[in-house]
Amino acid sequence: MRISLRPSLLAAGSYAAFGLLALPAQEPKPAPTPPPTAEPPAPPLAEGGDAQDPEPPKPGKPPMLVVEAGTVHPVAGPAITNGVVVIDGERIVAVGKKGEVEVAADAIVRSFPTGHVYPGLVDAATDAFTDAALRTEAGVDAGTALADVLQRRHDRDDELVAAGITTAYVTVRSPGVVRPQGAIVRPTAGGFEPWSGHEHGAVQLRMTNGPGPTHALQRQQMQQQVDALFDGLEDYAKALTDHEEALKKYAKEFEDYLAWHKKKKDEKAGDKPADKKDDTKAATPPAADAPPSPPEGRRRVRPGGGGGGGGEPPKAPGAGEVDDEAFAAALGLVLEAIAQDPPKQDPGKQDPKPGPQTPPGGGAPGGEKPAENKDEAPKRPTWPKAPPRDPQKDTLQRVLDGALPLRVEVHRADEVRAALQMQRRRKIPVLVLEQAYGAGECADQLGERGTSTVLTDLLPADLPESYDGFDPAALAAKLQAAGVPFAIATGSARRAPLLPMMAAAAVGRGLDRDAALRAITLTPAEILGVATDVGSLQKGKLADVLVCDRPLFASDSHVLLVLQKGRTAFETK
Amino acid sequence: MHLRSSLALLVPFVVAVERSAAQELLLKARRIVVAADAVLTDGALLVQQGKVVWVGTDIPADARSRAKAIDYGEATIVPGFVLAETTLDQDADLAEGALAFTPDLRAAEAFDPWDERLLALPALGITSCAFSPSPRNVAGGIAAFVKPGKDRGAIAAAELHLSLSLTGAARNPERQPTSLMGAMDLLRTTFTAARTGTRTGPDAAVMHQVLQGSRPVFVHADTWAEINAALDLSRDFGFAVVLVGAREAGKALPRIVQQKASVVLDTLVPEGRLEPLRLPARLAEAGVPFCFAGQPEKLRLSAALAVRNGLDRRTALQALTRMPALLLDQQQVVGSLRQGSAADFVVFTGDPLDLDAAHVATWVDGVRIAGTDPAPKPAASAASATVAGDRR
Amino acid sequence: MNARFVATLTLSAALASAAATAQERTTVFTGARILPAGRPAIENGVLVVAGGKIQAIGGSSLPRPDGATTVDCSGRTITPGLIDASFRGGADPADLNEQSDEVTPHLRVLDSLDPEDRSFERARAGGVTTVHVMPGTRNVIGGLGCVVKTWGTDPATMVLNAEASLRIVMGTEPSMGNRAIRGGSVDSMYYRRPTTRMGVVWEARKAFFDAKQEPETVPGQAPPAANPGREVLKRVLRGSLTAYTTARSEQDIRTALRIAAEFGYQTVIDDAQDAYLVADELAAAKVMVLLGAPSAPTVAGTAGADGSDPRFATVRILAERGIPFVVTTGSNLSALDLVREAMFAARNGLDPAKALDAVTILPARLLGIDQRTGSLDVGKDADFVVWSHDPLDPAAVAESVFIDGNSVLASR
Repeated sequence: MRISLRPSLLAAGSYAAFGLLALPAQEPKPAPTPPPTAEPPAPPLAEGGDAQDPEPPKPGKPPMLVVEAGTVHPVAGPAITNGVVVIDGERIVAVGKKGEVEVAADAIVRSFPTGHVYPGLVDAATDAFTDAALRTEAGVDAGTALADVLQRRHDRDDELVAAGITTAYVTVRSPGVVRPQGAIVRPTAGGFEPWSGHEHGAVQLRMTNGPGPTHALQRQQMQQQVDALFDGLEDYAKALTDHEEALKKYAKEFEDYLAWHKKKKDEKAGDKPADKKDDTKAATPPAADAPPSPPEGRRRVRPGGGGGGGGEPPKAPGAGEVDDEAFAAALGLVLEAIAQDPPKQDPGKQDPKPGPQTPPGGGAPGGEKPAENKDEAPKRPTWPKAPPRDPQKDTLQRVLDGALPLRVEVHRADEVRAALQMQRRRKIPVLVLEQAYGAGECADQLGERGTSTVLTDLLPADLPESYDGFDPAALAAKLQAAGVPFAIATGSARRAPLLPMMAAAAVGRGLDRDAALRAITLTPAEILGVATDVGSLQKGKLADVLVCDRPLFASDSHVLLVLQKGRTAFETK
Repeated sequence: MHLRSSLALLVPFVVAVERSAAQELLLKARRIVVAADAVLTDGALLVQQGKVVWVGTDIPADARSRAKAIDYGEATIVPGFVLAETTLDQDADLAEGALAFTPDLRAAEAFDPWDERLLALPALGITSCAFSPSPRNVAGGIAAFVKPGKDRGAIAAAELHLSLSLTGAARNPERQPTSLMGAMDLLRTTFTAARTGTRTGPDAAVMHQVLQGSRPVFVHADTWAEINAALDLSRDFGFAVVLVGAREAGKALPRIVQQKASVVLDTLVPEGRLEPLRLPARLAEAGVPFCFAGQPEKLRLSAALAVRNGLDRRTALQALTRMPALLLDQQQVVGSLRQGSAADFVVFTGDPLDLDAAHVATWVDGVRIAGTDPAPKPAASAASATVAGDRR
Repeated sequence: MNARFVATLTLSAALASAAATAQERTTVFTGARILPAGRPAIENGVLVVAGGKIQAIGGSSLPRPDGATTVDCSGRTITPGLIDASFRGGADPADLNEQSDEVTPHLRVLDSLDPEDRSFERARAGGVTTVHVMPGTRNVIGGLGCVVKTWGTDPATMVLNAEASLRIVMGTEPSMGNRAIRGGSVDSMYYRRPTTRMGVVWEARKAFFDAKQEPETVPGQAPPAANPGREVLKRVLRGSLTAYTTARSEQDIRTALRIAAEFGYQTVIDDAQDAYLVADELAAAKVMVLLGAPSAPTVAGTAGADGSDPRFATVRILAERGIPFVVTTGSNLSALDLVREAMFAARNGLDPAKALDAVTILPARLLGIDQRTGSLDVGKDADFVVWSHDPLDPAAVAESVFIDGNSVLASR
């Protein structure tokens, strides 16, 4: 996997901003910094297998598309009666009142005089495109990622886009404490497209035993178990840096060692000037080149960790910098040297712990002295053993670095508090709580910290009987009052068509209508870190548009048209 | 335990009832749904002695001066929902374990007026229900019509229909019958014996009432085979049948129409297959009388899901109010707000078939037993009232 | 090869359109080899179907009605829809056995029948259009069997005979599940007779004894307590209802014949795997034999070996001795499709024409439905199968199956 720092840095930046400002009215700025998802404007026909549009892309610039409707709900601002959304290619170029927005003469106009237009919905938690087996798999580690195994599964997976959901975060409610990393996808009529750059959406942990009867102490034990996942991360990071240092040192010592033997050989042979020249040339350049390159290269490997794939094994010492012929020449020398000077000690026995590498025989000082004494050969340095790579630790390190958000499923109030405590203790930059039925009790605390929450199970009597005391639909209003950013999500693919009804149920329990709409569009986009591209109808954002015949929260509201990046993804005939 | 608490609560309870019953109340709201097809705009409802005494838009002057006015402002008042079949989670107490044929047992005998499940119904908009024998027995017994109250519920009619069951739950490998044909034989034999008079006793008497047409019959039947079996009985013994559950009613639709059967639906499962979700719309199209039932918590959701899947709002509201009242033969008392009917109604901030309408209050027999009174400023009252007062 | 492919296409296209208005329109099937059952084959035959009935059948010279849809079936074979005279299925197994009692003669299996049971779908796919469903084999006297078609718009339209037979079961199977005193609770309804083969016979004999003993209603006196089970047994004793006794091993077949003789009723021996050992007795008793799954080397039922020893030669022996029999799938779990069982019978010494008769016209006569189905004759129901090859050819596949003129096969 290619490692690049750019997206994670950007993501970290946006998350940090989000975490501090709680509910920032983020102005999308498509131009200044290239957004992580900025793709070439060419039609993205590539991977998803979504051949929705049968006509081949025309050579010229395609005409603009204009969606006119009785009411346009941009989410970013108040509803617009007789509004228009102007789309050029993949993105929205204007939103406003009909007549007040400039529209090209050759634009295609789709008119819905009594319709309601919304941004494409964002489902902050679904299990679409996952295998049933994944939902029961307990033994995964945080280094695994759902993005690697997603495929079209259920008969009703295509209902996501039919229900107007154009962006979804895929996760599974598996029973283990650690779950695979979730992925952000773009549902399409025939399946889905991964959102390039957002395949690794967040690290998922489960800090609850579920609705079964549990003892408070039992739960505490489980909470500690989750918290303990972050133990030893510092040592792990240190071991890795130490190993790098040791490698550098090894490279240097090996050069010395080679040089000494070469000299000896030259002295013995005496009459092969051509070879001598060649050898020194071959051996020295890498030695000279090696030091400058590793520092940067190494540092990239460690924190970036290759995301889901975990760290690759480190390359041979300086091997990346040594070209093949030079290496072959050096190897020849080494073999010769070994023949002359068999190792006295088994290097494996010598360094039991991979920590700070001290070269054999008392390290550098011991090695240097004999070098001065021209008769004694320097000890052959021992290859520093790499510390075992742990993809889970690599991933958690990325969480601590702010490159990945952490999502934790919690149910009861004590579990919510335990998650917040873990965040404080471990200095986790971005924490998102899932389900959090008991969050009402500590809503103020959540509000202060700006911890966002993904609510599911909002329809009446969704929760098991032992959770009767919880009321997620009423919780939404409480969180709103406390200023906690929250998204409303389906939690499962089969419930995709019900997302608007879930938001409506929250309105029925006291939530503002606007806040409810925001909770299935812009807020989840912010939580997923894609608010610069989706979540509202604003200039510069992707043209994900949902058109309904009635207001979204009415029970008899039907989807008429769904556009994804300006293309028709679903349409009622 | 109940006896003691009832003694303790009796005195204040009686006083409270006396006072509120004597007082005339004039309830106003933007919309009053008198029946599913009759809606008053800016009308009023005059309530006295637990009954509706006057409904209309022009309030009589004397009533206006005398009655205590309660104005729900922008809200909508609908008749209280009627739950046509429920065991209130007391299945164990509503099915004889050893015997599958107990048509003469009365659910009223198992009724607990202090039952929490019953008292939770008003917050869900339900103002009356048929407390029914469990479908675990082939002939479970006779259902009772019960109503929740402020502190305790009450039996409004002790004997409704006979509840029969042909579902898998009624076929128990530990007692007779273990199979569908065994269940059918049991019912056929007993109906035949009641008809020929070769069997006497209280159970035969109930079967005889059915044959005479004086006792309605509800039959729990889910699959096509079970529905067909129920319709066979109805045809062979000449009684009208109400199918309860009827998950696969879509397959037997022609026969259901032909035999004029009615349907009491079970909870619609939101994430379930589409066929059952579309069943209410199909039944409405075929003209089959039906109502929603099942889990009380999901009653309103079931209706909303049916609307989402093609059912018209008028029929949906009717299937929550008038239709169950009709199937239980209680349409004179509940199911609509007419002169003389019980003052059972629910206040929502909007159409109850949209989930974004908040529940404001529920009144049973002219007494508010869930939710809140409107705040002084009626316009802003509805939404805030819900947040503050409504627990469920 | 190519030409054949095209032919298949045109056939299926034509069938699809034929199915749409099958009931009203007249359809003519031409060019097939027709095996009408009970009479010789017709080469290059013509079959005219309208209104769900067979209107005409004959050679290529048969006049064709005007305006009829013609379906070219050249290269194919048409037979009547097959009839399985002992069919295990039709409902959930739990609903086929009423376990609360051992003797339940009045239970009607029709009440348990599930028109959507998967076994009907499989039967249709194998060219079976009519089946005889009996109650399960866990009771000594299980109840009334019914004859139904394997497809219908409504269960009522499927029924040919609601009360066609009374099932009696010999052997150890009915005693299974009942408990002796050493195990289980005395309160359980399963603490009862029989737990042995002897007990099974005792239950059957007692039931018929009681039915015989019961006095007829005397005018002027109160009628005796209603006992619908006894009424059913009386019908058997009177000869107005046929008993089907499931008896697999030699001793069970002998017992079945003995009890029938003792009480003087007619019985059919079902699943008679050891029939070759009692050929003399069967011939003498002039009983009909249902040969369940002649291809199966294993014993039918769920009670282990149960003493019987099936042989492939049974078919030939019965045919040679002139003992009337039909081929069924019976209660054998390893039974093949009915057409394959007929093929096995033919392979083991039965004349092919007779093998086909043994799954069409003979079971129709046995079940008393030969006026409606069982052979291709004018006026009978349009129940027939278009086979890709001769049905007794191992490669034969039912390409289309018609019941009452409706094409009932899900498209392949």
